[in-house]
Amino acid sequence: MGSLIRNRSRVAPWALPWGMPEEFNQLWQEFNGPLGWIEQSSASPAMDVRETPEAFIIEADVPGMKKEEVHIEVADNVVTLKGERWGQREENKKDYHLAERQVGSFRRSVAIPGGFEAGKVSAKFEHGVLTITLPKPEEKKPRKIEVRVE
Amino acid sequence: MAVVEERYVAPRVNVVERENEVVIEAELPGVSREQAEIEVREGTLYLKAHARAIGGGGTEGAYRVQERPGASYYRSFKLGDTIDPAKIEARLQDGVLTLTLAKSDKFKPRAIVVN
Repeated sequence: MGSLIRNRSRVAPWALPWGMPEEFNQLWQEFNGPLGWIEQSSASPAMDVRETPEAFIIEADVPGMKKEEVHIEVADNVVTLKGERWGQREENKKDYHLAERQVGSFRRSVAIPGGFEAGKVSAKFEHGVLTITLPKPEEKKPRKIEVRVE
Repeated sequence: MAVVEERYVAPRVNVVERENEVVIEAELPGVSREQAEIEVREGTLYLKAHARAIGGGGTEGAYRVQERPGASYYRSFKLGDTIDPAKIEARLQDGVLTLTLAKSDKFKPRAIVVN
Protein backbone atom coordinates (compact mmCIF):
# COMPACT_ATOMS: atom_id res chain seq x y z
CA MET A 1 0.00 0.00 0.00
CA GLY A 2 2.75 2.39 0.98
CA SER A 3 4.73 1.63 -2.16
CA LEU A 4 1.73 2.36 -4.32
CA ILE A 5 1.46 5.87 -2.93
CA ARG A 6 5.15 6.50 -3.50
CA ASN A 7 4.74 5.37 -7.05
CA ARG A 8 1.86 7.67 -7.58
CA SER A 9 3.70 10.67 -6.18
CA ARG A 10 6.52 9.96 -8.60
CA VAL A 11 4.08 10.04 -11.52
CA ALA A 12 2.19 13.12 -10.44
CA PRO A 13 4.82 15.83 -11.22
CA TRP A 14 5.18 14.37 -14.70
CA ALA A 15 1.54 14.90 -15.54
CA LEU A 16 1.46 18.31 -13.89
CA PRO A 17 4.86 20.02 -13.64
CA TRP A 18 5.87 20.59 -10.02
CA GLY A 19 2.40 19.67 -8.83
CA MET A 20 1.08 23.07 -9.73
CA PRO A 21 -2.61 23.79 -10.15
CA GLU A 22 -4.12 23.14 -13.56
CA GLU A 23 -4.53 26.85 -14.36
CA PHE A 24 -0.86 27.49 -13.83
CA ASN A 25 0.04 24.55 -16.01
CA GLN A 26 -1.95 26.05 -18.86
CA LEU A 27 -0.30 29.39 -18.33
CA TRP A 28 3.09 27.76 -18.39
CA GLN A 29 2.28 26.08 -21.69
CA GLU A 30 1.11 29.33 -23.18
CA PHE A 31 4.25 31.06 -22.05
CA ASN A 32 6.33 28.43 -23.80
CA GLY A 33 4.43 28.82 -27.02
CA PRO A 34 1.38 27.10 -28.38
CA LEU A 35 3.19 24.51 -30.46
CA GLY A 36 4.05 21.08 -29.20
CA TRP A 37 7.25 19.31 -30.23
CA ILE A 38 6.55 15.67 -30.24
CA GLU A 39 9.89 14.20 -31.15
CA GLN A 40 13.10 14.93 -32.95
CA SER A 41 16.47 13.38 -33.69
CA SER A 42 19.97 14.81 -34.12
CA ALA A 43 19.81 14.95 -37.92
CA SER A 44 16.55 16.92 -37.74
CA PRO A 45 16.46 19.99 -39.95
CA ALA A 46 16.26 23.48 -38.44
CA MET A 47 12.70 24.77 -38.70
CA ASP A 48 10.76 27.99 -38.56
CA VAL A 49 7.01 28.05 -37.93
CA ARG A 50 5.03 31.16 -38.76
CA GLU A 51 1.37 31.88 -38.16
CA THR A 52 -0.66 34.13 -40.45
CA PRO A 53 -4.41 34.79 -40.12
CA GLU A 54 -5.05 32.14 -42.78
CA ALA A 55 -2.42 29.47 -42.20
CA PHE A 56 0.56 28.02 -40.40
CA ILE A 57 3.74 27.95 -42.50
CA ILE A 58 6.60 25.57 -41.74
CA GLU A 59 10.01 26.11 -43.33
CA ALA A 60 12.74 23.51 -42.91
CA ASP A 61 16.37 23.66 -44.05
CA VAL A 62 17.08 20.48 -45.95
CA PRO A 63 20.12 21.34 -48.09
CA GLY A 64 21.18 18.63 -50.51
CA MET A 65 18.00 16.63 -50.15
CA LYS A 66 15.82 15.71 -53.10
CA LYS A 67 12.08 16.16 -53.18
CA GLU A 68 11.62 12.39 -53.15
CA GLU A 69 13.76 11.98 -50.03
CA VAL A 70 11.50 14.02 -47.74
CA HIS A 71 8.19 12.60 -46.60
CA ILE A 72 5.41 14.66 -45.10
CA GLU A 73 2.57 13.05 -43.20
CA VAL A 74 -0.46 14.77 -41.73
CA ALA A 75 -2.83 13.28 -39.18
CA ASP A 76 -4.88 14.63 -36.26
CA ASN A 77 -3.48 18.18 -36.22
CA VAL A 78 0.08 16.84 -36.40
CA VAL A 79 2.56 17.25 -39.26
CA THR A 80 5.41 14.76 -39.42
CA LEU A 81 8.55 15.26 -41.46
CA LYS A 82 10.64 12.21 -42.21
CA GLY A 83 13.75 11.62 -44.23
CA GLU A 84 17.28 10.40 -44.50
CA ARG A 85 20.11 12.80 -45.09
CA TRP A 86 23.13 12.22 -47.29
CA GLY A 87 23.79 8.56 -47.39
CA GLN A 88 26.22 9.05 -50.27
CA ARG A 89 29.43 9.33 -48.29
CA GLU A 90 31.49 7.00 -50.41
CA GLU A 91 35.06 7.80 -49.49
CA ASN A 92 37.37 6.83 -46.68
CA LYS A 93 37.16 8.77 -43.46
CA LYS A 94 40.82 9.75 -43.74
CA ASP A 95 40.11 11.67 -46.97
CA TYR A 96 37.83 14.05 -45.06
CA HIS A 97 39.44 17.17 -43.69
CA LEU A 98 36.09 18.33 -42.36
CA ALA A 99 32.78 16.48 -42.07
CA GLU A 100 30.27 18.83 -40.49
CA ARG A 101 27.21 18.02 -42.57
CA GLN A 102 24.63 16.04 -40.61
CA VAL A 103 23.90 12.48 -41.62
CA GLY A 104 21.29 10.00 -40.53
CA SER A 105 17.58 9.64 -40.55
CA PHE A 106 15.25 12.07 -38.88
CA ARG A 107 11.64 12.22 -37.89
CA ARG A 108 10.06 15.30 -36.50
CA SER A 109 6.47 16.08 -35.64
CA VAL A 110 4.81 19.39 -34.96
CA ALA A 111 1.38 19.67 -33.36
CA ILE A 112 -0.54 22.63 -34.77
CA PRO A 113 -2.85 24.26 -32.23
CA GLY A 114 -6.37 24.52 -33.59
CA GLY A 115 -5.56 22.13 -36.39
CA PHE A 116 -5.55 22.65 -40.17
CA GLU A 117 -7.36 21.57 -43.31
CA ALA A 118 -5.51 18.32 -43.98
CA GLY A 119 -6.85 18.12 -47.53
CA LYS A 120 -5.49 21.57 -48.44
CA VAL A 121 -1.90 21.21 -47.23
CA SER A 122 0.64 22.23 -49.86
CA ALA A 123 4.43 21.91 -49.97
CA LYS A 124 7.19 23.53 -52.00
CA PHE A 125 10.86 22.71 -52.42
CA GLU A 126 13.32 25.46 -53.34
CA HIS A 127 17.08 25.99 -52.85
CA GLY A 128 17.20 23.30 -50.18
CA VAL A 129 14.31 24.78 -48.18
CA LEU A 130 11.04 22.91 -47.73
CA THR A 131 7.99 25.12 -47.22
CA ILE A 132 4.74 23.56 -46.00
CA THR A 133 1.55 25.62 -45.88
CA LEU A 134 -1.19 24.40 -43.55
CA PRO A 135 -4.41 26.36 -44.07
CA LYS A 136 -6.43 26.92 -40.90
CA PRO A 137 -9.92 25.49 -40.66
CA GLU A 138 -12.62 27.97 -41.72
CA GLU A 139 -13.97 28.38 -38.18
CA LYS A 140 -10.51 29.31 -36.84
CA LYS A 141 -9.91 32.12 -39.31
CA PRO A 142 -10.48 35.63 -37.97
CA ARG A 143 -13.91 37.02 -38.75
CA LYS A 144 -15.03 40.57 -38.80
CA ILE A 145 -18.34 41.09 -37.09
CA GLU A 146 -20.15 44.31 -37.71
CA VAL A 147 -21.91 45.62 -34.63
CA ARG A 148 -24.80 47.84 -35.43
CA VAL A 149 -25.30 50.77 -33.12
CA GLU A 150 -28.92 51.74 -32.68
CA MET B 1 17.61 56.26 -39.48
CA ALA B 2 17.44 52.51 -39.25
CA VAL B 3 20.67 50.68 -38.64
CA VAL B 4 20.82 47.49 -40.63
CA GLU B 5 22.85 44.94 -38.78
CA GLU B 6 24.36 42.16 -40.81
CA ARG B 7 24.76 38.86 -39.06
CA TYR B 8 26.94 36.11 -40.48
CA VAL B 9 26.77 32.41 -39.84
CA ALA B 10 29.44 29.91 -40.90
CA PRO B 11 27.86 27.27 -43.12
CA ARG B 12 28.43 23.60 -42.33
CA VAL B 13 30.99 22.11 -44.71
CA ASN B 14 32.50 18.83 -45.75
CA VAL B 15 35.99 18.96 -47.21
CA VAL B 16 37.22 15.88 -49.04
CA GLU B 17 40.63 15.42 -50.59
CA ARG B 18 40.94 13.22 -53.62
CA GLU B 19 43.94 12.33 -55.75
CA ASN B 20 43.70 15.30 -58.10
CA GLU B 21 41.35 17.67 -56.32
CA VAL B 22 39.87 18.95 -53.09
CA VAL B 23 36.08 19.20 -52.89
CA ILE B 24 34.30 21.57 -50.52
CA GLU B 25 30.56 21.11 -49.99
CA ALA B 26 28.91 23.98 -48.12
CA GLU B 27 25.29 24.00 -46.95
CA LEU B 28 23.58 27.22 -47.99
CA PRO B 29 19.86 26.52 -47.69
CA GLY B 30 17.71 29.29 -49.15
CA VAL B 31 20.54 30.77 -51.22
CA SER B 32 20.14 31.16 -54.97
CA ARG B 33 22.98 31.25 -57.49
CA GLU B 34 22.89 35.05 -57.72
CA GLN B 35 23.27 35.40 -53.96
CA ALA B 36 26.46 33.33 -53.64
CA GLU B 37 29.78 35.17 -53.85
CA ILE B 38 33.05 33.31 -54.17
CA GLU B 39 36.40 35.04 -54.33
CA VAL B 40 40.02 33.91 -54.23
CA ARG B 41 42.43 36.48 -52.87
CA GLU B 42 46.05 35.97 -51.77
CA GLY B 43 45.75 32.25 -51.34
CA THR B 44 42.46 32.35 -49.46
CA LEU B 45 39.03 31.42 -50.77
CA TYR B 46 36.20 33.57 -49.43
CA LEU B 47 32.64 32.33 -49.51
CA LYS B 48 29.82 34.73 -48.84
CA ALA B 49 26.09 34.53 -49.41
CA HIS B 50 24.19 37.71 -48.79
CA ALA B 51 20.72 38.27 -47.42
CA ARG B 52 19.44 34.78 -47.83
CA ALA B 53 15.98 34.24 -49.14
CA ILE B 54 13.88 33.20 -46.19
CA GLY B 55 12.08 30.65 -48.31
CA GLY B 56 9.24 30.36 -50.72
CA GLY B 57 6.47 31.52 -48.41
CA GLY B 58 7.54 35.12 -47.80
CA THR B 59 8.03 36.51 -44.33
CA GLU B 60 4.54 37.53 -43.25
CA GLY B 61 3.00 36.29 -40.04
CA ALA B 62 4.24 35.86 -36.51
CA TYR B 63 7.11 33.49 -35.76
CA ARG B 64 6.04 30.73 -33.39
CA VAL B 65 9.31 28.84 -33.75
CA GLN B 66 12.53 30.25 -35.17
CA GLU B 67 15.49 27.91 -35.41
CA ARG B 68 16.88 28.74 -38.83
CA PRO B 69 19.76 31.20 -38.64
CA GLY B 70 18.07 33.76 -40.90
CA ALA B 71 21.36 35.46 -41.67
CA SER B 72 24.03 35.75 -44.30
CA TYR B 73 26.68 33.07 -44.63
CA TYR B 74 30.40 33.65 -44.50
CA ARG B 75 33.44 31.38 -44.37
CA SER B 76 37.01 31.44 -45.66
CA PHE B 77 39.43 28.66 -46.52
CA LYS B 78 43.22 28.90 -46.69
CA LEU B 79 44.19 27.18 -49.90
CA GLY B 80 47.84 26.17 -49.51
CA ASP B 81 50.33 25.56 -52.32
CA THR B 82 48.79 22.40 -53.71
CA ILE B 83 45.71 24.18 -55.10
CA ASP B 84 45.76 25.89 -58.48
CA PRO B 85 43.68 29.08 -57.90
CA ALA B 86 42.88 29.29 -61.61
CA LYS B 87 41.15 25.92 -61.58
CA ILE B 88 38.26 26.25 -59.17
CA GLU B 89 34.76 25.26 -60.21
CA ALA B 90 31.57 26.08 -58.34
CA ARG B 91 28.11 24.55 -58.57
CA LEU B 92 25.05 25.33 -56.46
CA GLN B 93 22.22 22.84 -56.28
CA ASP B 94 19.43 22.30 -53.72
CA GLY B 95 21.09 24.67 -51.27
CA VAL B 96 24.49 22.97 -51.39
CA LEU B 97 27.49 24.72 -52.93
CA THR B 98 30.10 22.34 -54.31
CA LEU B 99 33.53 23.82 -54.96
CA THR B 100 35.98 21.65 -56.86
CA LEU B 101 39.56 22.80 -56.42
CA ALA B 102 42.04 21.18 -58.76
CA LYS B 103 45.52 20.48 -57.46
CA SER B 104 48.47 22.08 -59.22
CA ASP B 105 50.04 19.78 -61.79
CA LYS B 106 53.28 19.55 -59.83
CA PHE B 107 51.43 18.12 -56.83
CA LYS B 108 49.46 15.53 -58.74
CA PRO B 109 50.70 11.97 -58.45
CA ARG B 110 52.69 10.99 -61.49
CA ALA B 111 53.87 7.58 -62.65
CA ILE B 112 57.45 7.48 -63.84
CA VAL B 113 58.23 5.05 -66.54
CA VAL B 114 61.43 3.08 -66.11
CA ASN B 115 63.41 2.99 -69.30
